[in-house]
Amino acid sequence: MTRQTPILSIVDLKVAYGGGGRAGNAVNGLSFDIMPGEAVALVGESGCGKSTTAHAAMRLLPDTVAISGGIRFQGRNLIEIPEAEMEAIRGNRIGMIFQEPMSSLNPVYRIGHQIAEAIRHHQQLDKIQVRKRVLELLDLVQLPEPQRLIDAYPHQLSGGQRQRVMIAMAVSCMPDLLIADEPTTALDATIQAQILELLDKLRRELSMSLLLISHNLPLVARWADNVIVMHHGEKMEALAASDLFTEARHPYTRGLQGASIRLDENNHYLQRPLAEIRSYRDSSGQYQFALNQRNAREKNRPPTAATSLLRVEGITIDYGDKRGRLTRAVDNVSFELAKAETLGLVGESGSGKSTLSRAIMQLVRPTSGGIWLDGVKLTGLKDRHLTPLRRNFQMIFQDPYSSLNPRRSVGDMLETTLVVHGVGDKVERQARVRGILDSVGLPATASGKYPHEFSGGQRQRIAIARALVIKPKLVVCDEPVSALDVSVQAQVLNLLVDLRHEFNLSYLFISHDLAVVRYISDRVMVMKDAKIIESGDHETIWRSPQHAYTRQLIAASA
Amino acid sequence: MNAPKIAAIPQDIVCPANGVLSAVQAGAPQPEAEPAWKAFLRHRSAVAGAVTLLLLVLAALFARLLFPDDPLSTVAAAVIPPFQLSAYPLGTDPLGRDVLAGLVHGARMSLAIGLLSALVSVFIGVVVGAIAGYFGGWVDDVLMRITELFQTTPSFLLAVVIVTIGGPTLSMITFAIGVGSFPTIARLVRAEFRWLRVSDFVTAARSQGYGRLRIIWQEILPNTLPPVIVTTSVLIASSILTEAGLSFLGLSDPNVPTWGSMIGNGRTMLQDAWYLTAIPGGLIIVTILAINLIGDGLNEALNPRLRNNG
Repeated sequence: MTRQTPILSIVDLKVAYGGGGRAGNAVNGLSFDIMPGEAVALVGESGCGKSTTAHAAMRLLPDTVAISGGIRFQGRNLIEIPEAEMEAIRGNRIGMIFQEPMSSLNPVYRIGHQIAEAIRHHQQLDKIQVRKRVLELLDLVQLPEPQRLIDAYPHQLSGGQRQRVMIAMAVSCMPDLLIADEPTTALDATIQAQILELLDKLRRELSMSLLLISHNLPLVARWADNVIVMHHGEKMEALAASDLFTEARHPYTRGLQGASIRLDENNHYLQRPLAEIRSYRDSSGQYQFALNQRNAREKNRPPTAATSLLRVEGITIDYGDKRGRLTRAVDNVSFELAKAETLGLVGESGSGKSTLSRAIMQLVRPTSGGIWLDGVKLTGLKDRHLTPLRRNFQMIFQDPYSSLNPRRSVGDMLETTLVVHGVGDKVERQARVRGILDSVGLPATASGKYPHEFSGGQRQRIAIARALVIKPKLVVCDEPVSALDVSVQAQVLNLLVDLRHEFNLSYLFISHDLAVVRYISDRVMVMKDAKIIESGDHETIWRSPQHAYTRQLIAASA
Repeated sequence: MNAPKIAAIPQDIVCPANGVLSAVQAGAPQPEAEPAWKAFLRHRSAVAGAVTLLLLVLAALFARLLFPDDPLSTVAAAVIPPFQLSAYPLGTDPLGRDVLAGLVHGARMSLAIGLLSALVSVFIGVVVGAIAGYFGGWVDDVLMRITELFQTTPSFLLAVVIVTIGGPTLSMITFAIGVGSFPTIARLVRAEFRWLRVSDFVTAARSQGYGRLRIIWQEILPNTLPPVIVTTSVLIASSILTEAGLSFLGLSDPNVPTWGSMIGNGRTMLQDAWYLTAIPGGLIIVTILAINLIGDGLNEALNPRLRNNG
């Protein structure tokens, strides 16, 4: 084996944010190499320093940040070279793509113009040559009809197409290294796979190296050569991607693995709870990791009683815009949800699943069709009659940051819900608040605190407590773990399973993540273009998917 | 570094199923936010503004103790320039009235009208803006057209008309100024309500069966307060200015001295005794500057986005 020199070599990198709330080292003594043509992934949870490392390599961090160590790229230490020299490297020798393809493009310029900018900045080409090159690049990133798209504006493109444009810009100068910072996190599963395939193809065709930043373990295992697992700014473990799920030794890596849900792993909540990884600092300030793999839940049995709790019949919802044009968000959807059942609803963005959930919550009036809960027809009820029934059906939202009123304390929030429904006197209400906080795993002291004093996972526990405090029968979970880190996701999913048993709940569990739905659901429905295209038992739907779209989803997620 | 730090811990010690979760275990919470008043105190110019305003308010409150005599009575020779007589450090006006006593007593009227008329606009503005923003539709259309009617009328002209018709009493002047400036607050509150209305936590409140009043009052309104408070401070400043303008034109209670009427009276002597205009004018500038500095400080203290970058 010949010894190559690495294209990028990070040596003992330390990045410290000064002042503010993020004092301390965001990256703390990180070292790794990327060989020519190699794809290295930095993987870890939010705040582990992976994005900071990427931004440091591009010298995109603000001046107030203290950086030390070495970022060696083609013989130069990028930390030390003057800004003018860095400008010749940035976008030219090192390209970068970002998570949010919606905000990374300037909405007022045409696509072609923006790609041309990137080319003109680093290359001396005349107008005709530039346009030719732009068309080549659009073709290279496999966008349809380059001749037409070159004159399109960003808003005319889908999210996946925009990310392709970003990639075209990043590779326009044939860089030696491409940094992809969570390139597919904002995209649907099927699009995600296509973008990663494209990155992989480009890497080989243009013989680039790739630095892939992601929080998603199964994803990096599939698309990278080597993986570096990070936590609190340090490297926990470095290993070949193919060994990630088999050879990992570090307890943190193993914890992340146990917490990740992979479609091919075939786990289900009835078989085994997800492993929970907890990190904490010991007395000497060292991080310690504890992995908790609970045994199978004997208590949990699949729902046997087939009494129906929720009946949705022929629901159609049209949205009209100002010009009177109608968009059909939900098209003639019918299903039933049994008592103590978890029904999963999978679909990509725009499939209508959120609108459907809001119709069930009686927040959106359907154009036609009816919804019954426990035999009572909810649709068409006047507010005055509906309000007392609302205690029976509750909702958990995706984003625990926006779904809690920042100006209400937790106890106040929970108690008000009880007041609204006229539950008990003050003493009894406070006892219920304490009880529910305990059930969701929060200390009683949480009652007096405000949402900003909690982490994302804890906030989601508060949101769950708020939904459960009035003892509903049905809980609609709209992407309840999509905004959470893997380890927190595992904790919240385990909690939902436990609570279902404790409170005898039925869940309608909505997610774009097939693996999560597969784990948590008894029955699954697949939604696409406002229609339910397939539904079935949680086992059969993966084993023998009937609809082509379901097969496509499964292939993209595997 | 690759060596496992801890292989496994007996589960009952570390993670009781469904057990209490400490902050450390679930990942660090967000950095503790600095209380707003601390952020305000770090803002030096805002503190300077607050101290200045406090002195003015104290002077106004204790005006009767400091200058027990009627400030409108003749006490000495006419037109004594400032810094000549220690008994009248700021001199006297053409009618032999003590300028300093006039300023201190005038502060009562100016500050009272500034504060009260700002409160009037906040009250009207919040009610109109909240209803328009929350209910939307035709309610919004009607209320906003009315608001625009007031917004497009020059507010000073409106105040002149109202005070001319209603007479220059404290309540009429307050109402006249307040009505003229409520559109700023109304539009601000409406915009905040419109996006907070569809926010997740309001949707959550609706899905829990909260009534409309409870949602408007408890869920949305507290979240609109920071920008309203900041705007109010600016409104107080502009109200003081409008009041000064009105009394300059003689549209104020002739039995009560105000800064504006002092400028109006001094205007005729501008060539010989410029200080009769400059002193109350300077005081108005200082007051408005102080209030604006407080407004800036409040804006940074109450706006979490600015606070984190501070």
